[in-house]
Amino acid sequence: MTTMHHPQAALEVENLHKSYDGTEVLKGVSLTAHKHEVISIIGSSGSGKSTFLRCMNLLEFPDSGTLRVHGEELELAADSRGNRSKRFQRQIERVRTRLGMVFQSFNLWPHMSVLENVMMGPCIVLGRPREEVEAKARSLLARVGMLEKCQVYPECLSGGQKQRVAIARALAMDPEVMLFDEPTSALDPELVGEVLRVIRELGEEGRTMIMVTHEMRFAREVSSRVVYLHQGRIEEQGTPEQLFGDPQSANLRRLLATQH
Amino acid sequence: MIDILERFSGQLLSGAGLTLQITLIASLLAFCLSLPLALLRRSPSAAWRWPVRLYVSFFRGTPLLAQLFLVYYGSGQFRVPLTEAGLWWFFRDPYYCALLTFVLNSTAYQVEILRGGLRAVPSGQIEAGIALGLRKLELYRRIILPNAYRIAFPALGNELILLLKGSAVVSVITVLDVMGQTRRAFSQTFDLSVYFWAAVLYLLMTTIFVLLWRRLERCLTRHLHCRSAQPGKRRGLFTRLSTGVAP
Repeated sequence: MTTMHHPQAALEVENLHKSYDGTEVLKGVSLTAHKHEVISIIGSSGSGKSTFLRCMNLLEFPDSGTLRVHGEELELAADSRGNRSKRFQRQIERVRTRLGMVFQSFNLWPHMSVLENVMMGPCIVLGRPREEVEAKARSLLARVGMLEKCQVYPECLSGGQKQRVAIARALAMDPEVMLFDEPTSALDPELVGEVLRVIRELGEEGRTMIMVTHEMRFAREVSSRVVYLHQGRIEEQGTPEQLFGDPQSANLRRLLATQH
Repeated sequence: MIDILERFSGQLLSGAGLTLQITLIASLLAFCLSLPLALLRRSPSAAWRWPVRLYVSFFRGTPLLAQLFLVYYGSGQFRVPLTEAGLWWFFRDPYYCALLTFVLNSTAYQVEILRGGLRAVPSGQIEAGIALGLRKLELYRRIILPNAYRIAFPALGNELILLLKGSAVVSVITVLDVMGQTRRAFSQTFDLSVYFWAAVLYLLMTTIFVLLWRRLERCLTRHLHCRSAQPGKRRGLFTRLSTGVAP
């Protein structure tokens, strides 16, 4: 059994590099998420934090680096982007099913009801029986407080409700790690709380989570570790107390000063 | 005027049947052909993209009548090889030539319409599917195509109306559609009111089509009008087609 004392890596990223048109966005970033860890990635805009998160489930394809999820190791190189072998492609798909992604702009499918959105992954990707999936989807929707809306189309929901459904959709795959890409940035201020509450509860349950966020106070409260990304490198990381209480990097101090 | 209608209503209605038949068959075949071609049109490889591009710009850039003549009279030039190939029965029949021309023409337009629809599917929705681990086929089937066709739907309806009206050119190569019957009736009576009744008939057909199409569209975009999907109710064909997790 895994305990907090013998942490086991749920997700390992090593020496990730990524450039766009000659501009290096990630300059060799490594991160290990142990089981039950909640990691917040902070940084000013353009620091590469969203790119970093999107590289973890290969929505962006890194130029080089290693990715380890659930006992699978993926050696990534720029040339594997184009001509991928079928085996490699399957491997990528497998890795993606192990990582639940929550987007800034929710990205629910508008032509499906809330319930169908949540059921899609387990039904189609994992091929689980429909009844079982539906029961599970309902219980997940209940957990994020969206069960009474399960037959509604996403268009009818508020931003906060959409994001809670998106979280349920990601959870339905039983992911090893949940990835959150600025989950509250597209929300009206009064709707942020309901989404953060759900994320906090997931952390308390012992979910492994990696989260890109601008909500410093929230990051401080829920994270077990905070990573500060600056210009494509990890400039500082540590417990929230260390990072927010006694930041070493001048850049981080400046960033934190603008937040208050 | 009324007596003309009484005298020729049978012919006009049979012409309408032929007009509808040609339009329907051609648009259905074009509908089937346009999807693979639109996908090729978006292929990353130029070797796939360019032939489709050339084809589309030829058929969109030349008059339908010219295309019809090219197929009907043009094939006459190749009578011997076509006979040898066992295809002459097809090309010597104006009805088949018209059908072929309309399929080629409408496919070109539908490819462009669909291409626009495919391009307009929000990338975030596709990413959400990729992030779940959906394979390409499922991604297209459950997310990209249902959305692309919804986006393309009004433009497709427009194209079908254009095809319906454009089909009047077949009267020039002796096919007796509404226009063909009208010309024949006119040559017998020299009464211009027969053209009036033909126009009424076309108007009737397009109006009914527009109403039908609008209903279909409302049905397909239900999810944008914020109502409950009503779990207990047996859902219609289009709902079932539209939802991703179909039984």
